[in-house]
Amino acid sequence: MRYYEGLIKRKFKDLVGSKYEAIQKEYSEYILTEEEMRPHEIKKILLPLDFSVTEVSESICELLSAYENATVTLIFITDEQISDIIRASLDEEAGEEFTRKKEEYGTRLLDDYEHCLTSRNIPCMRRMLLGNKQQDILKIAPDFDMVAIPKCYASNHPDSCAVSGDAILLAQSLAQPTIVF
Amino acid sequence: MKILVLLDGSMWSHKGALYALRIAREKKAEVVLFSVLDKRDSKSMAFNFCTQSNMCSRIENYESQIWRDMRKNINDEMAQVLLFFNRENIQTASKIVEGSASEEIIKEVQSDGYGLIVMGAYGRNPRSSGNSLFPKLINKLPVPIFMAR
Repeated sequence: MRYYEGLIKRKFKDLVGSKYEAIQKEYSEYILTEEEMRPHEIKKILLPLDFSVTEVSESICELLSAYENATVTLIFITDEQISDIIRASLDEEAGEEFTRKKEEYGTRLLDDYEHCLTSRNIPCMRRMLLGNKQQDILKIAPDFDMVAIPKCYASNHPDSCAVSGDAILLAQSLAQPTIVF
Repeated sequence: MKILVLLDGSMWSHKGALYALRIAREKKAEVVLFSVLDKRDSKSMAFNFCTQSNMCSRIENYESQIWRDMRKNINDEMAQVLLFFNRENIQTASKIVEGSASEEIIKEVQSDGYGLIVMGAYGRNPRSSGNSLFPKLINKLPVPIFMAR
């Protein structure tokens, strides 16, 4: 790749052959291989949602339309731990009511995002999960080429859509290219 | 659409530029390649060098030489990336400013209508840690941030 070769020649112009390879191995935390330098082909995009996300972002739908032939998987997660706490502290019915309300909201949000994406000819799939908003995304993400995270994902402050610690942590922990919006 | 590509000299930010190029090509976007040089970096590098080498009498010389090298390196990198974008006929400008990275980037984004920021996921840090600029930018800016990996 000409771009990669140019970059390496400029950065390591005083090194040749096997010496560069030894440095690349030793400093692999900092240096990308030629293969790693190549941008991933983006075919499968994961877009997590939850109760904290209150608005559909038209700008992210527009941006994702840059990836021709990519499919977006929308996933709405309801916090299972909170549901369990409600069940334990109140009763079974209250726990179910909590989950049902969140999932009703999730269905509407998934509908809105699906419309936003399909109106731009982006194929889209949807899932609803009862689980852990952070751990489940980390588990699912390796099956995708890119993750797009709303900045208030898992913030639990739905009225302000403030940047959440979980969104920042996910963006910094994932191994795929990530868009935070 | 206008894309701000942050170049910090790391290979991750170069990879970010390649991702930005693809988006710009598809969306017919305008691109600004942006880099911030911080005097504090040359100062801390000069200080580390002088304490390691026990030659602190020349610390000012080291600092000015490191600063000159930093400028030259980022100019070279910017020129190479710019050439790459120009070859693809993408409308591209470049800017190098001096100051604190987060403050200058926030100022730039707020002064112009950017629709996307593209940056390396790790900056100049090892890949086991994150880019320390990211939390500062996402907290202050209402623009999507693409982290290249």
